[in-house]
Amino acid sequence: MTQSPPATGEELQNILRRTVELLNDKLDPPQLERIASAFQTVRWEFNDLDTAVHLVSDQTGPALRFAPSVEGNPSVTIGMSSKTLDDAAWGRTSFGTAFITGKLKVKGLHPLKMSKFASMLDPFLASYREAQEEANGS
Amino acid sequence: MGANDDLPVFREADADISVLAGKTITIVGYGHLGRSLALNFRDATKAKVIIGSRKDDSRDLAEKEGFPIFDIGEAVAQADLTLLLVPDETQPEVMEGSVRANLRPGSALLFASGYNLAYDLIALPQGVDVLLFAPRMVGDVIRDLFVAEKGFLSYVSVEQDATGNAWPTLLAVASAAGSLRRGALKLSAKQEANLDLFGEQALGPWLGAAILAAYQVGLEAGLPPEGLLLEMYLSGEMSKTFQAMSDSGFFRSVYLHGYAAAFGGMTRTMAVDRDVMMETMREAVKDIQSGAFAEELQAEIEAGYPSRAFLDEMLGDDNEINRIEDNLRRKLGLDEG
Repeated sequence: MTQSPPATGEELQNILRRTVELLNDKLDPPQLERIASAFQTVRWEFNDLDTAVHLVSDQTGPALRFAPSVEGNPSVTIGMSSKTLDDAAWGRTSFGTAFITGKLKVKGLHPLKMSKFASMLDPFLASYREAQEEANGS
Repeated sequence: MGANDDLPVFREADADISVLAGKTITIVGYGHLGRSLALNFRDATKAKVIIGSRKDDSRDLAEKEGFPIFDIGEAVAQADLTLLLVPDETQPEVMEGSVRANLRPGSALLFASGYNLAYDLIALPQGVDVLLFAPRMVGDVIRDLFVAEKGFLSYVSVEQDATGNAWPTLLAVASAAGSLRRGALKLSAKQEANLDLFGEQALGPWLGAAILAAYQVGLEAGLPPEGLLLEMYLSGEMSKTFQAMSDSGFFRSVYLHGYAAAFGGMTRTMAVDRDVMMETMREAVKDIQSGAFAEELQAEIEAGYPSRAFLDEMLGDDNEINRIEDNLRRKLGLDEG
Protein backbone atom coordinates (compact mmCIF):
# COMPACT_ATOMS: atom_id res chain seq x y z
CA MET A 1 0.00 0.00 0.00
CA THR A 2 1.29 3.48 -0.89
CA GLN A 3 2.08 5.61 2.13
CA SER A 4 2.18 9.39 2.23
CA PRO A 5 5.71 10.52 2.99
CA PRO A 6 6.11 13.01 5.83
CA ALA A 7 5.53 16.52 4.54
CA THR A 8 6.98 18.46 7.43
CA GLY A 9 9.90 18.18 9.79
CA GLU A 10 7.53 17.64 12.67
CA GLU A 11 5.80 14.74 10.92
CA LEU A 12 9.13 13.17 10.12
CA GLN A 13 10.33 13.57 13.70
CA ASN A 14 7.21 11.88 15.00
CA ILE A 15 7.64 8.97 12.62
CA LEU A 16 11.31 8.62 13.52
CA ARG A 17 10.57 8.80 17.23
CA ARG A 18 8.23 5.83 16.81
CA THR A 19 10.77 4.18 14.45
CA VAL A 20 13.33 4.11 17.23
CA GLU A 21 10.84 2.61 19.68
CA LEU A 22 10.05 -0.15 17.20
CA LEU A 23 13.72 -0.63 16.38
CA ASN A 24 14.47 -1.53 19.98
CA ASP A 25 12.05 -4.44 19.68
CA LYS A 26 13.67 -5.68 16.48
CA LEU A 27 17.24 -5.76 17.76
CA ASP A 28 18.27 -8.32 20.32
CA PRO A 29 20.42 -7.28 23.31
CA PRO A 30 23.73 -8.49 21.77
CA GLN A 31 22.98 -6.45 18.62
CA LEU A 32 22.17 -3.40 20.73
CA GLU A 33 25.38 -3.87 22.68
CA ARG A 34 27.42 -4.08 19.47
CA ILE A 35 25.82 -0.88 18.17
CA ALA A 36 26.34 0.88 21.50
CA SER A 37 30.00 -0.15 21.51
CA ALA A 38 30.49 1.48 18.11
CA PHE A 39 28.26 4.55 18.17
CA GLN A 40 27.21 6.84 20.97
CA THR A 41 25.09 9.05 18.72
CA VAL A 42 24.00 8.79 15.10
CA ARG A 43 22.73 12.08 13.72
CA TRP A 44 20.29 11.93 10.79
CA GLU A 45 20.01 15.13 8.80
CA PHE A 46 17.13 15.79 6.39
CA ASN A 47 17.99 19.03 4.67
CA ASP A 48 14.83 19.24 2.56
CA LEU A 49 12.74 19.48 5.73
CA ASP A 50 15.42 21.34 7.68
CA THR A 51 15.30 18.66 10.34
CA ALA A 52 17.83 16.60 12.23
CA VAL A 53 17.23 13.80 14.70
CA HIS A 54 19.54 11.66 16.81
CA LEU A 55 19.69 8.00 17.57
CA VAL A 56 21.40 7.68 20.91
CA SER A 57 22.82 4.46 22.31
CA ASP A 58 22.01 4.02 25.94
CA GLN A 59 25.22 2.41 27.14
CA THR A 60 23.62 0.80 30.18
CA GLY A 61 20.39 -0.41 28.56
CA PRO A 62 21.26 -1.65 26.12
CA ALA A 63 18.73 0.37 24.17
CA LEU A 64 18.42 3.06 21.56
CA ARG A 65 16.54 6.26 22.17
CA PHE A 66 15.34 9.12 20.02
CA ALA A 67 16.55 12.66 20.69
CA PRO A 68 15.76 15.80 18.69
CA SER A 69 19.05 17.29 19.83
CA VAL A 70 22.11 16.25 21.81
CA GLU A 71 25.14 17.88 23.34
CA GLY A 72 28.52 17.32 21.76
CA ASN A 73 29.45 15.87 18.41
CA PRO A 74 27.71 12.81 16.97
CA SER A 75 29.68 9.63 16.31
CA VAL A 76 28.30 9.46 12.78
CA THR A 77 26.27 11.88 10.68
CA ILE A 78 24.00 10.65 7.91
CA GLY A 79 22.58 13.18 5.49
CA MET A 80 19.84 12.65 2.92
CA SER A 81 16.47 13.98 1.86
CA SER A 82 13.30 12.71 3.50
CA LYS A 83 12.35 11.39 0.04
CA THR A 84 15.49 9.26 -0.12
CA LEU A 85 14.66 7.77 3.27
CA ASP A 86 11.10 7.14 2.17
CA ASP A 87 12.24 5.63 -1.15
CA ALA A 88 14.69 3.33 0.65
CA ALA A 89 12.05 2.23 3.14
CA TRP A 90 9.56 1.34 0.42
CA GLY A 91 12.02 -0.31 -1.94
CA ARG A 92 12.16 2.41 -4.60
CA THR A 93 15.88 2.73 -3.93
CA SER A 94 18.33 1.38 -1.38
CA PHE A 95 20.75 3.04 0.98
CA GLY A 96 23.62 1.48 -0.99
CA THR A 97 22.42 2.96 -4.27
CA ALA A 98 21.68 6.29 -2.62
CA PHE A 99 25.21 6.38 -1.22
CA ILE A 100 26.81 5.63 -4.55
CA THR A 101 24.79 8.30 -6.33
CA GLY A 102 25.52 10.92 -3.68
CA LYS A 103 21.96 11.09 -2.36
CA LEU A 104 23.07 9.71 0.99
CA LYS A 105 26.15 11.08 2.67
CA VAL A 106 27.91 9.55 5.65
CA LYS A 107 30.42 11.41 7.79
CA GLY A 108 32.51 10.02 10.61
CA LEU A 109 31.84 6.33 10.06
CA HIS A 110 35.06 4.53 10.85
CA PRO A 111 35.54 1.83 8.18
CA LEU A 112 35.99 -0.83 10.81
CA LYS A 113 32.57 -0.08 12.28
CA MET A 114 30.75 -0.66 8.99
CA SER A 115 29.49 -4.12 9.98
CA LYS A 116 27.84 -2.78 13.11
CA PHE A 117 26.29 0.08 11.17
CA ALA A 118 25.06 -2.13 8.34
CA SER A 119 23.39 -4.56 10.71
CA MET A 120 21.13 -1.76 11.90
CA LEU A 121 19.88 -0.61 8.49
CA ASP A 122 17.30 -3.23 7.54
CA PRO A 123 15.64 -3.25 10.98
CA PHE A 124 15.66 0.54 10.90
CA LEU A 125 13.86 0.66 7.56
CA ALA A 126 11.36 -1.99 8.64
CA SER A 127 10.64 0.05 11.77
CA TYR A 128 10.22 3.19 9.69
CA ARG A 129 7.65 1.46 7.47
CA GLU A 130 5.67 0.32 10.49
CA ALA A 131 5.86 3.75 12.07
CA GLN A 132 4.70 5.39 8.87
CA GLU A 133 1.79 2.97 8.50
CA GLU A 134 0.75 3.76 12.07
CA ALA A 135 0.98 7.48 11.37
CA ASN A 136 -1.13 7.13 8.26
CA GLY A 137 -3.65 4.96 10.09
CA SER A 138 -3.29 1.97 7.78
CA MET B 1 64.27 6.71 1.36
CA GLY B 2 65.22 5.65 -2.14
CA ALA B 3 65.82 2.77 -4.52
CA ASN B 4 66.60 -0.50 -2.75
CA ASP B 5 69.49 -2.21 -4.53
CA ASP B 6 69.35 -5.10 -2.06
CA LEU B 7 65.80 -6.19 -2.95
CA PRO B 8 66.23 -9.77 -4.22
CA VAL B 9 64.76 -10.35 -7.68
CA PHE B 10 64.56 -13.79 -9.29
CA ARG B 11 64.56 -14.56 -13.02
CA GLU B 12 64.45 -17.71 -15.14
CA ALA B 13 68.16 -18.35 -14.65
CA ASP B 14 67.60 -18.69 -10.88
CA ALA B 15 65.15 -21.58 -11.22
CA ASP B 16 65.47 -25.27 -12.10
CA ILE B 17 62.08 -26.37 -13.28
CA SER B 18 63.19 -30.02 -13.35
CA VAL B 19 62.88 -30.24 -9.55
CA LEU B 20 59.14 -30.62 -10.15
CA ALA B 21 59.56 -33.57 -12.54
CA GLY B 22 57.80 -36.71 -11.35
CA LYS B 23 56.14 -34.85 -8.47
CA THR B 24 52.42 -34.64 -7.85
CA ILE B 25 51.11 -31.08 -7.73
CA THR B 26 47.68 -30.63 -6.20
CA ILE B 27 45.73 -27.49 -6.96
CA VAL B 28 43.00 -26.85 -4.40
CA GLY B 29 40.43 -24.59 -6.03
CA TYR B 30 39.94 -24.37 -9.79
CA GLY B 31 39.03 -20.69 -10.02
CA HIS B 32 40.71 -18.15 -12.31
CA LEU B 33 44.12 -18.52 -10.69
CA GLY B 34 43.88 -22.25 -10.00
CA ARG B 35 42.89 -22.98 -13.58
CA SER B 36 45.67 -20.84 -15.07
CA LEU B 37 48.35 -22.36 -12.86
CA ALA B 38 47.11 -25.92 -13.42
CA LEU B 39 47.23 -25.48 -17.20
CA ASN B 40 50.63 -23.75 -17.06
CA PHE B 41 52.14 -26.44 -14.81
CA ARG B 42 50.82 -29.19 -17.05
CA ASP B 43 52.42 -27.54 -20.08
CA ALA B 44 55.69 -26.48 -18.44
CA THR B 45 56.62 -29.39 -16.17
CA LYS B 46 56.83 -33.15 -16.09
CA ALA B 47 54.80 -33.17 -12.90
CA LYS B 48 51.43 -34.83 -12.46
CA VAL B 49 48.86 -32.08 -11.89
CA ILE B 50 45.67 -33.01 -10.06
CA ILE B 51 42.78 -30.95 -8.74
CA GLY B 52 41.22 -30.98 -5.29
CA SER B 53 37.78 -29.46 -5.45
CA ARG B 54 34.34 -29.43 -3.93
CA LYS B 55 31.50 -30.46 -6.18
CA ASP B 56 30.75 -27.30 -8.11
CA ASP B 57 30.96 -25.80 -11.61
CA SER B 58 34.71 -25.29 -11.40
CA ARG B 59 35.15 -28.99 -10.68
CA ASP B 60 33.21 -29.81 -13.86
CA LEU B 61 35.42 -27.43 -15.84
CA ALA B 62 38.59 -29.04 -14.48
CA GLU B 63 37.29 -32.45 -15.43
CA LYS B 64 36.39 -31.24 -18.91
CA GLU B 65 39.91 -29.85 -19.29
CA GLY B 66 41.35 -33.25 -18.57
CA PHE B 67 42.59 -33.03 -15.00
CA PRO B 68 42.17 -35.87 -12.51
CA ILE B 69 39.74 -34.61 -9.85
CA PHE B 70 39.56 -35.67 -6.22
CA ASP B 71 37.93 -34.48 -3.07
CA ILE B 72 40.25 -31.99 -1.42
CA GLY B 73 41.62 -34.22 1.34
CA GLU B 74 42.22 -37.07 -1.07
CA ALA B 75 44.09 -34.81 -3.50
CA VAL B 76 46.24 -33.29 -0.75
CA ALA B 77 47.20 -36.74 0.55
CA GLN B 78 48.79 -37.53 -2.82
CA ALA B 79 50.67 -34.25 -3.17
CA ASP B 80 54.33 -33.40 -3.08
CA LEU B 81 53.19 -29.81 -3.52
CA THR B 82 49.77 -28.44 -2.60
CA LEU B 83 48.59 -25.04 -3.79
CA LEU B 84 45.80 -23.69 -1.60
CA LEU B 85 44.01 -21.38 -4.01
CA VAL B 86 40.58 -20.91 -2.48
CA PRO B 87 39.55 -17.35 -1.45
CA ASP B 88 41.27 -15.90 1.62
CA GLU B 89 38.09 -15.87 3.67
CA THR B 90 37.45 -19.60 3.20
CA GLN B 91 41.07 -20.76 3.44
CA PRO B 92 41.13 -21.34 7.22
CA GLU B 93 38.05 -23.55 7.02
CA VAL B 94 39.41 -25.56 4.06
CA MET B 95 42.83 -25.79 5.69
CA GLU B 96 41.49 -27.21 8.94
CA GLY B 97 38.70 -29.24 7.36
CA SER B 98 40.54 -30.96 4.53
CA VAL B 99 44.16 -29.94 4.10
CA ARG B 100 46.17 -29.96 7.33
CA ALA B 101 45.57 -33.56 8.34
CA ASN B 102 46.34 -34.83 4.85
CA LEU B 103 49.61 -33.01 4.19
CA ARG B 104 52.44 -35.48 3.71
CA PRO B 105 55.57 -34.86 5.83
CA GLY B 106 58.25 -33.30 3.65
CA SER B 107 55.77 -31.98 1.11
CA ALA B 108 55.21 -28.31 0.38
CA LEU B 109 52.17 -26.10 0.88
CA LEU B 110 51.92 -22.97 -1.24
CA PHE B 111 49.74 -19.89 -0.83
CA ALA B 112 49.09 -17.27 -3.49
CA SER B 113 48.12 -14.66 -0.91
CA GLY B 114 49.89 -13.89 2.35
CA TYR B 115 46.74 -12.79 4.18
CA ASN B 116 46.04 -15.79 6.41
CA LEU B 117 49.72 -16.32 7.22
CA ALA B 118 50.28 -12.64 7.98
CA TYR B 119 47.44 -12.48 10.49
CA ASP B 120 48.00 -15.92 12.04
CA LEU B 121 44.63 -17.16 10.81
CA ILE B 122 46.36 -20.31 9.60
CA ALA B 123 49.08 -21.82 11.78
CA LEU B 124 52.07 -23.19 9.90
CA PRO B 125 51.78 -26.99 9.58
CA GLN B 126 54.75 -28.89 11.03
CA GLY B 127 57.23 -30.78 8.86
CA VAL B 128 56.07 -29.11 5.66
CA ASP B 129 57.62 -26.36 3.53
CA VAL B 130 55.35 -23.31 3.46
CA LEU B 131 55.73 -21.11 0.41
CA LEU B 132 54.25 -17.90 -0.90
CA PHE B 133 53.93 -17.28 -4.63
CA ALA B 134 51.77 -14.20 -5.08
CA PRO B 135 51.23 -13.15 -8.71
CA ARG B 136 50.70 -9.44 -9.30
CA MET B 137 48.37 -10.24 -12.16
CA VAL B 138 44.73 -11.17 -12.65
CA GLY B 139 44.23 -14.95 -12.48
CA ASP B 140 42.96 -15.68 -15.98
CA VAL B 141 45.46 -13.32 -17.63
CA ILE B 142 48.25 -15.50 -16.23
CA ARG B 143 47.24 -18.21 -18.69
CA ASP B 144 47.02 -15.75 -21.59
CA LEU B 145 50.49 -14.43 -20.83
CA PHE B 146 51.91 -17.93 -20.56
CA VAL B 147 50.48 -18.89 -23.94
CA ALA B 148 51.89 -15.66 -25.42
CA GLU B 149 55.27 -16.53 -23.84
CA LYS B 150 55.18 -13.38 -21.74
CA GLY B 151 55.81 -13.11 -18.03
CA PHE B 152 54.25 -11.35 -15.06
CA LEU B 153 55.58 -10.03 -11.79
CA SER B 154 55.12 -11.85 -8.53
CA TYR B 155 56.20 -11.85 -4.90
CA VAL B 156 57.83 -14.95 -3.48
CA SER B 157 58.87 -16.02 -0.02
CA VAL B 158 59.64 -19.11 1.99
CA GLU B 159 57.65 -18.90 5.21
CA GLN B 160 58.93 -22.22 6.54
CA ASP B 161 61.76 -24.36 5.18
CA ALA B 162 61.22 -27.78 6.72
CA THR B 163 63.09 -29.76 4.07
CA GLY B 164 65.93 -27.45 3.14
CA ASN B 165 64.61 -27.52 -0.43
CA ALA B 166 61.91 -24.90 -0.11
CA TRP B 167 63.58 -22.24 -2.27
CA PRO B 168 64.32 -24.53 -5.27
CA THR B 169 60.71 -25.74 -5.15
CA LEU B 170 59.33 -22.21 -4.92
CA LEU B 171 61.42 -20.84 -7.76
CA ALA B 172 60.52 -23.83 -9.95
CA VAL B 173 56.85 -23.06 -9.30
CA ALA B 174 57.34 -19.38 -10.17
CA SER B 175 59.14 -20.39 -13.34
CA ALA B 176 56.59 -23.00 -14.38
CA ALA B 177 53.79 -20.49 -13.81
CA GLY B 178 55.52 -18.15 -16.24
CA SER B 179 56.34 -15.41 -13.76
CA LEU B 180 60.12 -15.52 -13.99
CA ARG B 181 60.05 -14.45 -17.63
CA ARG B 182 59.33 -11.05 -16.08
CA GLY B 183 60.60 -11.50 -12.51
CA ALA B 184 59.75 -12.29 -8.89
CA LEU B 185 60.57 -10.10 -5.90
CA LYS B 186 61.31 -11.57 -2.49
CA LEU B 187 58.74 -10.19 -0.04
CA SER B 188 57.36 -11.94 3.03
CA ALA B 189 53.73 -13.01 3.44
CA LYS B 190 53.23 -10.18 5.92
CA GLN B 191 54.67 -7.63 3.50
CA GLU B 192 52.59 -9.02 0.64
CA ALA B 193 49.39 -8.94 2.68
CA ASN B 194 50.08 -5.42 3.92
CA LEU B 195 50.81 -4.16 0.41
CA ASP B 196 47.80 -5.89 -1.09
CA LEU B 197 45.43 -4.47 1.53
CA PHE B 198 47.08 -1.06 1.35
CA GLY B 199 46.47 -0.86 -2.39
CA GLU B 200 42.85 -1.90 -1.89
CA GLN B 201 42.15 0.39 1.07
CA ALA B 202 44.38 3.42 0.57
CA LEU B 203 44.47 3.90 -3.18
CA GLY B 204 41.36 2.01 -4.32
CA PRO B 205 38.75 4.05 -2.40
CA TRP B 206 40.18 7.35 -3.67
CA LEU B 207 40.16 6.11 -7.26
CA GLY B 208 36.59 4.91 -6.91
CA ALA B 209 35.46 8.02 -5.07
CA ALA B 210 37.20 10.24 -7.65
CA ILE B 211 35.29 8.58 -10.49
CA LEU B 212 31.95 8.88 -8.68
CA ALA B 213 32.62 12.49 -7.68
CA ALA B 214 33.75 13.44 -11.20
CA TYR B 215 30.62 11.82 -12.60
CA GLN B 216 28.37 13.87 -10.30
CA VAL B 217 30.23 17.12 -10.93
CA GLY B 218 30.26 16.47 -14.67
CA LEU B 219 26.50 15.94 -14.65
CA GLU B 220 26.00 19.14 -12.65
CA ALA B 221 28.02 20.95 -15.33
CA GLY B 222 25.80 19.58 -18.08
CA LEU B 223 28.28 17.09 -19.53
CA PRO B 224 26.71 14.00 -21.10
CA PRO B 225 26.73 10.99 -18.76
CA GLU B 226 27.76 8.60 -21.53
CA GLY B 227 30.71 10.83 -22.39
CA LEU B 228 31.75 11.03 -18.74
CA LEU B 229 31.90 7.25 -18.40
CA LEU B 230 33.73 6.87 -21.70
CA GLU B 231 36.24 9.52 -20.69
CA MET B 232 36.91 8.07 -17.26
CA TYR B 233 37.23 4.37 -18.06
CA LEU B 234 34.82 2.91 -20.57
CA SER B 235 36.78 3.78 -23.71
CA GLY B 236 39.83 1.96 -22.35
CA GLU B 237 41.97 5.08 -22.73
CA MET B 238 42.43 5.32 -18.97
CA SER B 239 43.64 1.73 -18.74
CA LYS B 240 46.20 2.62 -21.43
CA THR B 241 47.26 5.52 -19.21
CA PHE B 242 47.97 3.07 -16.40
CA GLN B 243 49.71 0.78 -18.88
CA ALA B 244 51.89 3.70 -19.92
CA MET B 245 52.82 4.27 -16.26
CA SER B 246 53.86 0.64 -16.08
CA ASP B 247 55.78 0.77 -19.36
CA SER B 248 57.38 4.21 -19.18
CA GLY B 249 57.14 5.30 -15.54
CA PHE B 250 54.68 7.29 -13.44
CA PHE B 251 56.20 10.71 -14.21
CA ARG B 252 57.82 9.80 -17.53
CA SER B 253 54.48 8.82 -19.05
CA VAL B 254 52.88 12.21 -18.43
CA TYR B 255 54.07 13.94 -21.60
CA LEU B 256 52.72 11.06 -23.70
CA HIS B 257 49.31 12.69 -23.25
CA GLY B 258 50.36 16.05 -24.68
CA TYR B 259 51.17 19.41 -23.09
CA ALA B 260 47.57 20.46 -22.44
CA ALA B 261 46.98 17.29 -20.42
CA ALA B 262 50.25 17.67 -18.53
CA PHE B 263 49.68 21.38 -17.81
CA GLY B 264 46.06 20.89 -16.72
CA GLY B 265 46.94 17.85 -14.63
CA MET B 266 49.81 19.64 -12.92
CA THR B 267 47.86 22.78 -12.04
CA ARG B 268 44.87 20.85 -10.73
CA THR B 269 47.04 18.39 -8.79
CA MET B 270 48.52 21.36 -6.98
CA ALA B 271 45.01 22.35 -5.86
CA VAL B 272 44.25 18.93 -4.36
CA ASP B 273 44.32 18.75 -0.56
CA ARG B 274 46.66 15.81 -0.19
CA ASP B 275 46.70 16.11 3.61
CA VAL B 276 43.07 14.94 3.83
CA MET B 277 43.82 12.09 1.47
CA MET B 278 46.92 11.08 3.39
CA GLU B 279 45.11 11.12 6.71
CA THR B 280 42.61 8.49 5.54
CA MET B 281 45.48 6.47 4.10
CA ARG B 282 47.35 6.64 7.41
CA GLU B 283 44.25 5.35 9.19
CA ALA B 284 43.97 2.53 6.68
CA VAL B 285 47.58 1.44 6.99
CA LYS B 286 47.42 1.66 10.79
CA ASP B 287 44.44 -0.71 10.84
CA ILE B 288 46.11 -3.02 8.34
CA GLN B 289 49.40 -3.23 10.19
CA SER B 290 47.87 -3.53 13.65
CA GLY B 291 45.63 -6.38 12.51
CA ALA B 292 42.48 -4.39 13.33
CA PHE B 293 41.18 -4.76 9.78
CA ALA B 294 41.79 -8.52 9.79
CA GLU B 295 39.93 -8.79 13.12
CA GLU B 296 37.00 -6.81 11.72
CA LEU B 297 36.88 -8.91 8.56
CA GLN B 298 36.93 -12.05 10.68
CA ALA B 299 34.04 -10.70 12.77
CA GLU B 300 32.16 -9.88 9.54
CA ILE B 301 32.67 -13.45 8.29
CA GLU B 302 31.69 -15.03 11.60
CA ALA B 303 28.56 -12.86 11.84
CA GLY B 304 27.40 -14.10 8.43
CA TYR B 305 28.52 -11.13 6.29
CA PRO B 306 26.13 -8.44 7.65
CA SER B 307 27.64 -5.79 5.37
CA ARG B 308 27.16 -7.86 2.24
CA ALA B 309 23.64 -6.58 1.51
CA PHE B 310 24.81 -2.97 1.61
CA LEU B 311 27.74 -3.80 -0.67
CA ASP B 312 25.42 -5.60 -3.08
CA GLU B 313 23.16 -2.56 -3.12
CA MET B 314 26.08 -0.30 -3.92
CA LEU B 315 27.28 -2.49 -6.75
CA GLY B 316 23.94 -3.86 -7.91
CA ASP B 317 22.06 -3.32 -11.14
CA ASP B 318 19.75 -0.70 -9.70
CA ASN B 319 21.93 2.30 -10.41
CA GLU B 320 22.26 4.88 -13.11
CA ILE B 321 25.87 4.13 -14.01
CA ASN B 322 25.11 0.47 -14.71
CA ARG B 323 22.18 1.45 -16.91
CA ILE B 324 24.23 3.95 -18.91
CA GLU B 325 27.05 1.43 -19.29
CA ASP B 326 24.63 -1.22 -20.57
CA ASN B 327 23.10 1.19 -23.05
CA LEU B 328 26.50 2.29 -24.33
CA ARG B 329 27.78 -1.25 -24.60
CA ARG B 330 24.77 -2.15 -26.69
CA LYS B 331 24.98 0.90 -28.94
CA LEU B 332 28.74 0.74 -29.44
CA GLY B 333 29.00 -3.03 -29.51
CA LEU B 334 31.67 -2.85 -26.79
CA ASP B 335 31.08 -6.46 -25.75
CA GLU B 336 31.75 -7.68 -29.25
CA GLY B 337 35.48 -7.18 -28.79
